[in-house]
Amino acid sequence: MIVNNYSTTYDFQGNISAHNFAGGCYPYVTSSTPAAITVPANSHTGNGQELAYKNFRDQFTGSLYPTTNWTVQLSPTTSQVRAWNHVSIAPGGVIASNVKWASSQFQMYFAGTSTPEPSFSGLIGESPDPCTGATGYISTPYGDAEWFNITTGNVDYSYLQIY
Amino acid sequence: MASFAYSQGTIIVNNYSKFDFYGFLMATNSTSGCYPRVGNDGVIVVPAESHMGNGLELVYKDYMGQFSSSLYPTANWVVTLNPTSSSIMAWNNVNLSPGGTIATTTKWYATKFDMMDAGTTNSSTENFRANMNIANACGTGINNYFVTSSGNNSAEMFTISGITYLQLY
Repeated sequence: MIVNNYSTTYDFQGNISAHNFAGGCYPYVTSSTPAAITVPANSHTGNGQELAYKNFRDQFTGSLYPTTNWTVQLSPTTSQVRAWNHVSIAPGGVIASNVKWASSQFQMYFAGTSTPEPSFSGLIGESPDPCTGATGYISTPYGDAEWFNITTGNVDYSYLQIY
Repeated sequence: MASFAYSQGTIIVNNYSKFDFYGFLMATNSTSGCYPRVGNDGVIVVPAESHMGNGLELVYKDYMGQFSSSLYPTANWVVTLNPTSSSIMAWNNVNLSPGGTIATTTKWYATKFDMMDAGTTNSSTENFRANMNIANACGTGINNYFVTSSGNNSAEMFTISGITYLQLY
């Protein structure tokens, strides 16, 4: 999962979710601590400041913007919070092996402030996806967001890019 | 069709914890009501740290085949066909064959277990024991996550693509 925030005006704040795509939406895993991951303005692969999450666990030590806890839903009505290093969500385990990055609920803020740009927000992700209802492209007068996937060498990369 | 023959689905138990799993695995009617219901007769033991990561997980593909293919075979099943009639069937009872009515109308849905200190029959001092179930036609609600009072141990039960998982941490 890569988030490139090319906007020089706004910080990205949001969560990131992954879920099962093989018949049903569960397990469904969402970043929950911090409540909003912040990727500052002008943070992207061009300057090495992008958000890069390889998996639920290794992102904690490998990413510039670590997630401490993930909320895991195994059914529509139940959920539990798992720390980044819990075996339940470790790479190679049943949950990690059966989910794919799917969406992000985000809000853009004026860089370095807690002042939101109300119109520059949304639920973006894999589209169409009945599990999230996310849209793959969001266009506003203040900037755009796009979600897409690239597969190289049997590895799936999901990209969220903000302009 | 082969898919009908295994409609009860596969169950996999991954015990990542340091305790031995002593427990029961149950299936119930896959579409409506609570019967037939099937559960192991003798307790199943899955030792500490036995999981897919080291190839020591429990895998039951069906009531019959598990006896020869699983690391932790069940010899006898308790089969309850209605509220007043219950019987013990050996794993190779023809009524339990993969294409038979019992197998094709049931689905894994519940467990009850007590975790023991590894290599003993002493209940863990963590009080790591629970009854759990996923969504089911018997209408018992969903109880698919358990955490001990200390927070040190937990268990989760869920289904992905016809495979039901019970994972203990």
